[in-house]
Amino acid sequence: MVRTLSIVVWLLLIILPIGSGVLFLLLSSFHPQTVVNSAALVNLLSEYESIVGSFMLAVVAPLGACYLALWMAPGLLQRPRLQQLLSPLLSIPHVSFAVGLMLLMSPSGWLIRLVDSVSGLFPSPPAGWPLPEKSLVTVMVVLVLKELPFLLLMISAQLKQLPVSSWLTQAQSCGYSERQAWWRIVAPELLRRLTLPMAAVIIYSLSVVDIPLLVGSNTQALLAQRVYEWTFQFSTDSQVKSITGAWVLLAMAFVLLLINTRHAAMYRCLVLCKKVNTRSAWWNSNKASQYVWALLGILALAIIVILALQSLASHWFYPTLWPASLSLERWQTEGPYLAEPASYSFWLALTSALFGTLAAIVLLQRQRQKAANAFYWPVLIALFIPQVPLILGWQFVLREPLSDGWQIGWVLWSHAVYTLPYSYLVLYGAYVRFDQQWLTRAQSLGYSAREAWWRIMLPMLKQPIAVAFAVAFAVSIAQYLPTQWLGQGLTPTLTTEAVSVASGGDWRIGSLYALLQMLLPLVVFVAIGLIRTQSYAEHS
Amino acid sequence: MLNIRNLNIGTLSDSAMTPLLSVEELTINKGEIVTLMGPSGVGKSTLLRWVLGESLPYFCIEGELTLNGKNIGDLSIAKRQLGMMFQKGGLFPHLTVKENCLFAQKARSVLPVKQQKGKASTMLKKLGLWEKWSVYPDSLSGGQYARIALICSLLAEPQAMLLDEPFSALDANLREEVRQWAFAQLQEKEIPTLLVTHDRADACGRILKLEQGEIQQEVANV
Repeated sequence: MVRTLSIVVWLLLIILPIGSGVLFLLLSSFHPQTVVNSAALVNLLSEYESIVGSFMLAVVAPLGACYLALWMAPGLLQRPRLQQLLSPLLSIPHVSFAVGLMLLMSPSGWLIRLVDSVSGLFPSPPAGWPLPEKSLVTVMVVLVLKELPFLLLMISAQLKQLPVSSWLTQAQSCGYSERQAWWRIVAPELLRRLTLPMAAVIIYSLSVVDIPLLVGSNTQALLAQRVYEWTFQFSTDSQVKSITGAWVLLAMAFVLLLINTRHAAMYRCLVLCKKVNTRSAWWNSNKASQYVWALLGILALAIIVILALQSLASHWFYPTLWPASLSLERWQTEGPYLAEPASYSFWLALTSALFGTLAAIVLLQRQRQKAANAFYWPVLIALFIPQVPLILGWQFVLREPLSDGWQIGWVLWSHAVYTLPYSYLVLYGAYVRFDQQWLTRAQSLGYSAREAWWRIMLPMLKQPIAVAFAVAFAVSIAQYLPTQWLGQGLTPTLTTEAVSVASGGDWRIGSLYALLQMLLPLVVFVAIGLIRTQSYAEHS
Repeated sequence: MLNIRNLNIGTLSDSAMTPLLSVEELTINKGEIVTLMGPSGVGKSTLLRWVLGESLPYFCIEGELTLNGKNIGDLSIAKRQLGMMFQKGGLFPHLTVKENCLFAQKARSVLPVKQQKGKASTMLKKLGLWEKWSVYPDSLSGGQYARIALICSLLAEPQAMLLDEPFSALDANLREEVRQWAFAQLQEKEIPTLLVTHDRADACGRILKLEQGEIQQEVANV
């Protein structure tokens, strides 16, 4: 039964979506009307600013997040409870995070207002503020800060598998400081193990559309954003451009993934050749990274508070620090419009997270049956292909079913394609490490293999399964492109509405959608945190 | 009585089979404890796991296995009625002591739950561990854990018992005490027991030494 189910999962959630995406690109590239040739490529290269911008974003944001995570990770060794901070941070969708960050840090944001209220330095929003409301740098900052908790969670999982403490002690006995030992001994191994999560972050940064729509530059759109826009234009020229753009995105993804596979080796060469500095820089200390942990926590809290305040503020003009008055008026006015997207978001997230988590369990159980414990990266392949060409393919393949009114079903399917790899990523460690001896013992007491799985393995893995579900739920809530394209505007979610409202410049109503978008996964994470489970992980 | 005959264990690598262990005949009588000793990698734990009925994909194993005259070689683990106590994992961590005791009985016992409870609580009271009835295994000391794990195994009424270095996690003082108690329990209930260990101090009953892929000699009877 598990075998059959795993074949169904492979076909429906891995082979069909990836195959159709690639098939579409190939078919349309050779189609007489939309043929991709050197002229099309030259035409596209005139948009070199978009290509360079996308490339820079896909290099700087993942690297920034990665090294910041490595710098902060020793905090996880000293205070393992910090890991609990990561779940709520992870639950904040990118769009909510971007809206909240802008309300806090933009030139007219709360931080500037605070500085002005104390010093009177900024009677009007500063012109040269490094984090303008719309720029490539702003997109980079949003992505770095948003990918940081994901990478820290991945590092935290790896730290549990490595004898880091003894490595650090051993290196310190050779005369290295704790931090030097961390960067020279632990970081290279962690980087090697972060190859797959980094690949996912790189591809996300390369193909992200909703964040640039919100906080990206209006004049220099990123390539994924341009491809997204071209597909909505019906001229043949735009169609050719969109297909050529999709190919360029795939080529860039391929190059970046290739470089990513050499990242750990390059770092190792670099760090081992580096002279040992006997004086430690102030910023490279455990204390400094602890401050950043605190800042990260404050930032998450501040984002929730500012979104709530903004949604309740009746008037809040610059440079006043607090709103003139608070009222529920906006909630009441927007209430009827919020209900539909909130309901779509919730049900889509619930069902796709359920499907994704169950599919991940099926694949992992099949791996256990085959005694194949190695991480099976093809399950994550949807994360390694830019979303734009992939979903463009789905839209093409599903033209007829979509016009027959099956949008919601296909949106659900597209969400499940993305919830599966994240559930697999979260569950993998706990599932494959689960000691067979527990099941054997249950069987020796007279229980069948199936009964042992239900009565022993499932309850013992309750916590990681719940976390996988919560992550999948958050992933579904944050989906923009699949919902927008396959839903054809008929399945509005909080994410699609937040992007369309906030990208139009209305941050006040945008904050309403963003707050709700953030609260849904947060509630799930909090609920899971409240489940007291004596899980396998706690006892092993 | 547990009987093993014509057992051949080989390791599989690159589709080639390397002989590991052969046992012509090994019989463990009612109430008898047999200890198999030998260095790591000699195949003693593999033998034990084969008796238990685990699937061992990297081994090629042939042999006959009977329990009280009945061939159990083709039966699933659940149907063999063999108790086990291995190095770790005696008690399920997500179940309380009470739940562990009831879980151990539920699959096979025909007694109503009330009587199952009574049986378990009587055994715990005898040991002075009654106050641990509602706690989770992680709050038990090493000695309490080992004792309750054996009680749970015995509650399932096994026809034979398999022990794989069951006391290795205990400290020296406690180890001797628990060891004496456990063997006394097994002998009192007349359960044929096969123990494998590499530590002479853990051995009990008839001691057999595994060397060069065979049972070399009967070392002693303690």
